[in-house]
Amino acid sequence: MNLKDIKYRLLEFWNDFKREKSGLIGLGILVLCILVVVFEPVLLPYKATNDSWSKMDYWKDNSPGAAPVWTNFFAKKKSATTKRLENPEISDIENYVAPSDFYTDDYDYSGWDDWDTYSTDDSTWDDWDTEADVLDDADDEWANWGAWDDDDDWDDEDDEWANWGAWDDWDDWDDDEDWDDGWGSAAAEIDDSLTVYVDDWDDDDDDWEYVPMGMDVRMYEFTYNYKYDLPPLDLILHLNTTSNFQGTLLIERPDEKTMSINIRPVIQGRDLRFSLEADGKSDAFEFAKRYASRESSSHADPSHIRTTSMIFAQANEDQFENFESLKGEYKFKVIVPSAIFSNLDEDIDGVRFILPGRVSGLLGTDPNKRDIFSGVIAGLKWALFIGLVTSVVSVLIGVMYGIISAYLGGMPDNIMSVIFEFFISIPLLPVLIVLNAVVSKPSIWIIIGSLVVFSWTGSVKVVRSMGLQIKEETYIEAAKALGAGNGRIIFKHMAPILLPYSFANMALAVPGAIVTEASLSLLGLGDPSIVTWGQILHQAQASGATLNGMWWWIIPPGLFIALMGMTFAFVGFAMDKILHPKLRTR
Amino acid sequence: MYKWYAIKRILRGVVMFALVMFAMSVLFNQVNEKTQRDQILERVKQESQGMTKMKTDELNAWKRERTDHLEKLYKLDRPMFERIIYRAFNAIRFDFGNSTLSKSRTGDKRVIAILLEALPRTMLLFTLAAGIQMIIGISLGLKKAQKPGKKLDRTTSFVTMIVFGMPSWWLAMLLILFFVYTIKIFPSGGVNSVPTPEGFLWLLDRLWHMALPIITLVLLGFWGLSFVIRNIVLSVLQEDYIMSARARGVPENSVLFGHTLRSAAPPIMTMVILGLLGSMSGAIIFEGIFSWPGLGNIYWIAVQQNDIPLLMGDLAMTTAIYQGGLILLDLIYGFLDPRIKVGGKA
Repeated sequence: MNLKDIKYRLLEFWNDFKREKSGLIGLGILVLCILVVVFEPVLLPYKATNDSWSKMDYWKDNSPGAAPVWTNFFAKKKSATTKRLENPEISDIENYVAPSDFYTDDYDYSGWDDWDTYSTDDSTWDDWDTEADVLDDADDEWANWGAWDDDDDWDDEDDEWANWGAWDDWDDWDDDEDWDDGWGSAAAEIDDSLTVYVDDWDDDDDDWEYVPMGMDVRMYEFTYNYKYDLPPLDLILHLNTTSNFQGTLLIERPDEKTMSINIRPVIQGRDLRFSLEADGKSDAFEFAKRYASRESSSHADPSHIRTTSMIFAQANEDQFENFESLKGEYKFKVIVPSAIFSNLDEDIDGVRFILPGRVSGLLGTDPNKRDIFSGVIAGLKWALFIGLVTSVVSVLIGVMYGIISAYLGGMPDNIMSVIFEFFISIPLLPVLIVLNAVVSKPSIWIIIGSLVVFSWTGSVKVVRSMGLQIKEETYIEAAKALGAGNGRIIFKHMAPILLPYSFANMALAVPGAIVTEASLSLLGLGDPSIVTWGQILHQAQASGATLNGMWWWIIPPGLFIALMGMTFAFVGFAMDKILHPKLRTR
Repeated sequence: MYKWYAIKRILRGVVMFALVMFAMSVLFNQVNEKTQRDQILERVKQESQGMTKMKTDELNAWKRERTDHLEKLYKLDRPMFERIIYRAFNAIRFDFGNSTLSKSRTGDKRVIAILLEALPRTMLLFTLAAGIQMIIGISLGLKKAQKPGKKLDRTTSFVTMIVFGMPSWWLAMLLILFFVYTIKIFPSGGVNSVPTPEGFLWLLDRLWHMALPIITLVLLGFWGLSFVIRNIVLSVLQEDYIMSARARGVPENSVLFGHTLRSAAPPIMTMVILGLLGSMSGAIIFEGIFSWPGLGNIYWIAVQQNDIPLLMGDLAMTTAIYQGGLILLDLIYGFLDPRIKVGGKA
């Protein structure tokens, strides 16, 4: 057969194939799949899926168990989608003091009349013991401070507290027996440049004066437009730093209230990741408690409330029981002391926020935060690979087996038939399971190999009967008379007739191979280093996805398996119609 | 004539079964033995824990003695060839000893008892499904053959190709998701409810539990059958004797069933039985999803728990059923095809 013959045959085949509508549909889908495989690096939303499928670290900024984004379209309450905030506005501010709840005018100071009642109202002050802290009017002296060092004495002459230790800033015994000057914004003023002035005892003047309090900072500001009914799952701050980082995160809400969260990085190092859900909860809870009713706060258990449910909630009395979304523009400000930048070695860059949404990804995520769409796209090439390689090799073996068996006839034919029957009697899946269970780390090649070994029997019977027919043709006899060897007759005369039929068989064998491999992976016996659809389903089954109603985890991989099967069925049946040898006479 | 054919076929089947079991014995010999050795060590260790009165070296000596004794019992100290033959022989006799971990419902630890208890459940499910598939497939195929190329024919062929590559266990997962958790009409698995009702209600309960698996199997299974039947019937309908029967005035039904199906019966039976065997082979996952306590489920449990006797026993039983099915197929084929009945070749 030379090139012209092959080209002619192909053209003839293609003309017949074009007439089969189903075949064209199948071919179209196949071409689409090949395009997807080729363009996979572009299509994958998470580029390192192939290597990192089992590395949970890669996925840690994603949302666990989230439904696909398009479900938002059908939902009554819109859930926040994943959002990344980058490129902040950077500004340097001098003498900055973070606004805290003390500096808001609506703080209720009524409980501050004297020290004794303060400690009963606010539980954070509970090392101020009511009985112990007694203001000794006569001496203007605080007795029994407890945690207070006894050296802290009121110095009558200077009207000054000495040895405050940790209390350096609280230099506020006011002669008028009124503590409101130093403790709250009543005394502090904030001007527009966010510089805060507090009363400070000026030794020279023997008088209280306003002094700027605070330090130089750099602020990274992000704006986030929040318009959903259900908040994102978390707020994650990322930045690259070489220094020991410390800073504050301010969240300015649309209702003019500001939440302040201390950024306490868990691990110092190059890439810092701060998750509000993990480390910012207590600060957020403090904020929320101020506006919720006393009853609510005492019943609420912060470990059961999501940090973002406190950040994005309307500050109602019952916000812990009934979450109402506070929509509007949020500003996230990361404030870092400028002292860090004065040292040339230390630097901070790449400040960005990730807000994992309640819905995420085109096909959702699994509880391990892996994007299922990426998994499905990554699995496509493996499905195609396994299916095609297995079916091509096993059909080729089967066809050659059939031809040789038919041609040789006699005793070799009988022996080969017995071997064939032996292989047919072996139930496929059970043996495959034991084989793969015995081999501790099944690689993709072992799986393909075992699939081929047990499924080459498919086309043998038909090919053998055809071979027996062809053997009786006169040109075979003529070739033998001319002295042609067995090999030549088989490969030059018999095979070319049956090869086209074997192509049709190959196409029809692919779905079986894909399903068998998926079955093996479903049982957990697949190759763990690659992502296949069967493996995704295995993890779904193991995590009880049906129980938890995560339909987006179960449906896509199996749907694609069925789709692949359907595609090859279309192509295969169309080819079979054209190429089946029994229809040669047509 | 047919008798000889039948006997020859059955003998061939038995020989083939023995051959396959032998091969599997050889293949899995290493695995079996390793597990057996481990089990012996476990047993000896457990037994020695009860012996508190012995001194250390006495204890060691006793342990060694016990181990040797048990190894002799399981013939682990004989040369490999002998061991393989011994095990293969046992396998053919279906004597697998006791399961390490499972018990049958009656508390019997013998592998064969456990398997025999699970066997009827598997057979019940799959043969019932195959039967329903056959009925629907034949009637649909006949309808398609009567009006080839028309709408019914084309749409059903289209759907056939769509479900061609669909794994049965995936459809099962889907149907469970929908019918068990979204619309709660069927139970999620198992063969009986707990507590098990009595009498007629027991039957209803069984049927209720079987409904979803059977629906899944049937939904996927009858398409291929109807497609093949359509092709065969179409080719038979073109034969001359059909035309002459119609010309003689034979009613259409009789033409269809009496003449056409009769000729088409052998390939149909082939497809039905091969389909049945195939679905039983894939039962491992299918039964697992429905928690249906049949042979497949036991196989999976045995693999997970490394229960080698049960595993080999289940493998043997599955192979035996498979082989039995093939033998049955050939026998039915021989019965239906008159040429073979009288001793000729097909």
